[in-house]
Amino acid sequence: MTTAALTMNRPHSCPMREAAAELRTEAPLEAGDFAQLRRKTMLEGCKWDVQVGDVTALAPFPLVMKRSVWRQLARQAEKLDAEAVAAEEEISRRPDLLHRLGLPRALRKALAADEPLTPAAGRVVRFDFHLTTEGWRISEGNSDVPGGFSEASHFTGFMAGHFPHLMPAGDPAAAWCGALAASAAGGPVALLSAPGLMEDHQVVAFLAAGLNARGCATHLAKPEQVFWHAGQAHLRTQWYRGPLAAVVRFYQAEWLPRFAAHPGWQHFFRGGKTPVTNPPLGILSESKRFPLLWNDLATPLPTWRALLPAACDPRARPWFDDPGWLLKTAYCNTGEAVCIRHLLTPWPWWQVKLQARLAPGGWVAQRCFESVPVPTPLGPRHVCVGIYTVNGKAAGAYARLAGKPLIDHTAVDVALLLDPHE
Amino acid sequence: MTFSCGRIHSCQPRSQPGGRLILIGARPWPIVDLPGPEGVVLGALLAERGYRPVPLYNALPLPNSLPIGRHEAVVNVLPTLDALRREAERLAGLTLPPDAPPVFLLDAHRQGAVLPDPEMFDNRSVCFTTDFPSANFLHAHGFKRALLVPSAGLEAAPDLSHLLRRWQEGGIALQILRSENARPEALVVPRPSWYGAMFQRALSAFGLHRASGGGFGAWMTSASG
Repeated sequence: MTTAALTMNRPHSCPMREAAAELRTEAPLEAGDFAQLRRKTMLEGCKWDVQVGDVTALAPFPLVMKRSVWRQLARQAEKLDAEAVAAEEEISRRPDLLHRLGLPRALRKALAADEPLTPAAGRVVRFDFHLTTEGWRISEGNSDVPGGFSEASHFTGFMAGHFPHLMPAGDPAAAWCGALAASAAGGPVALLSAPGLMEDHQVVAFLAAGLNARGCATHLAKPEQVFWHAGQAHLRTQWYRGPLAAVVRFYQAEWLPRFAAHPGWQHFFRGGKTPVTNPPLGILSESKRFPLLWNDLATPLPTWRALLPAACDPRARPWFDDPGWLLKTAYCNTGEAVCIRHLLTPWPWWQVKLQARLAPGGWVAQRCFESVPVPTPLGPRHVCVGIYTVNGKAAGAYARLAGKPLIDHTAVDVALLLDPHE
Repeated sequence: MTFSCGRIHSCQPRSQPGGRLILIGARPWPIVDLPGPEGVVLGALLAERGYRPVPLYNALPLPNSLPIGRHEAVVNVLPTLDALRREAERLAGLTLPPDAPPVFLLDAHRQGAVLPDPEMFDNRSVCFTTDFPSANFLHAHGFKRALLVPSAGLEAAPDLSHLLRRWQEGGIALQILRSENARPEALVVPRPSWYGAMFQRALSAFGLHRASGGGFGAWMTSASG
């Protein structure tokens, strides 16, 4: 699933020249080469949304990062993940804190139950880094259902083939599929996604191909087709009936309580014996209201505090008349629910403020940061580098470019390559 | 309904010399919303007349190999795939100009022709406004008219109406070809429910946006909808 990032574009003192010290681009591929790469990405890499409205969703050139910068960001991503795991564990023992994350009530109840946590088949998180006037900052961590694997692995790998002096930052899809296959030990794996959502189907189809290549039988299904017997997940479909060795839940956790009539959905979180990804507690740090709990935690979160802009409850006043704050929903998974005042006309902004006032527990206000655009063949572009960690280790990156300081569905995917000599 | 080229010929201006491009006068952008294989065939016929088919079939077939004769998927896309393979051979023999106008091909059964069994592979899909160019793009390329070709007797599908409404508001004249031997009629698309709503995905996630056709997929899950 695409991830929202948010920035503010004020006049800034940091010139693009300084940004170019961190990031640069190479010249675009020849049209024929790029057309071939685009076709391969579609047909072999399951990247089916290569055109979004009037925008071609793949950049014909790579974004190049100094290897030294990558090492620094990768280390930070690993620290962010380790801190998040510790915080999630502490929050899970504190129902009073669970209440403040904006989770649906039924999910809160499931997470607070006494049963043991359902084991995880692995953990993959993507932290979205932005180049700002204050250095690299993150807008969020995607710890529930991060996507972008095809773009980060397949597309990036093909692009790297055209630039032999550069190298990919990693292969997150391979790392993730390797971890899942190890957990499933060759058994059948169900990959769950929402019907009708092609951009999710392409992710599970891509991961399924990776698992098939590692000897796992895979089944693309929807959550209602998983049944739990004595904690064991079973798939009940016309093409397969039987137990599962692992479940890949590419389906937002906060949507699952809508299956109130479906027996056992709570086992995705507690009481299950079949490993499920992402881990059940990942939904806690996925909440954009996660920072509101930090002062009540014993877990220190120094990396999060250093990299994530300040946040406050919408009931607090600072954001209300200050253009330096933006609003987003607690579980916004795309840029559509990120509301930046200067990117909206007065009426939609008024609607947003009203919604945040009516249901403040489902929203968060976050201080904007000043994104520094990078010169590219498309013109100056704001950059988001989503760094994956797989089971705690940095594994690669999903990079996007946007003409406006907001990374949403109109952003262009770009291959991030490293310059090994810098 | 079996499609023939006659339905499209019917919208050719009578004064049009038998040129290669049908509908060349005001050059509409056709959107063909017919059951999969029929749409593919019509797209190929239009390709012979200078249009570039753009398939927008957003549904997966069930990936596993399966016994023949069972209906494992809610939307049977295999005939559409067969038609695409077949017609691709015909397209390979054509040389379309780079600026060939597109004809968009949708599967009229994309949201399922029957009530889905809970154990079926749920490959229903919807089309979104972002699957198409904007009205501004159409204007910039000299297109002022769009022609909807739905199944006989049907109007614009709910999901498609979001796009058509936007185009209409953007100054694109809409027409509909209601039957094979009819002439195009003006089409006015009323404002769909939740039209232009902010945070469509969030609304969907909160269960506020189901089956109106313009939002995101989770409403299709029968247990929640």
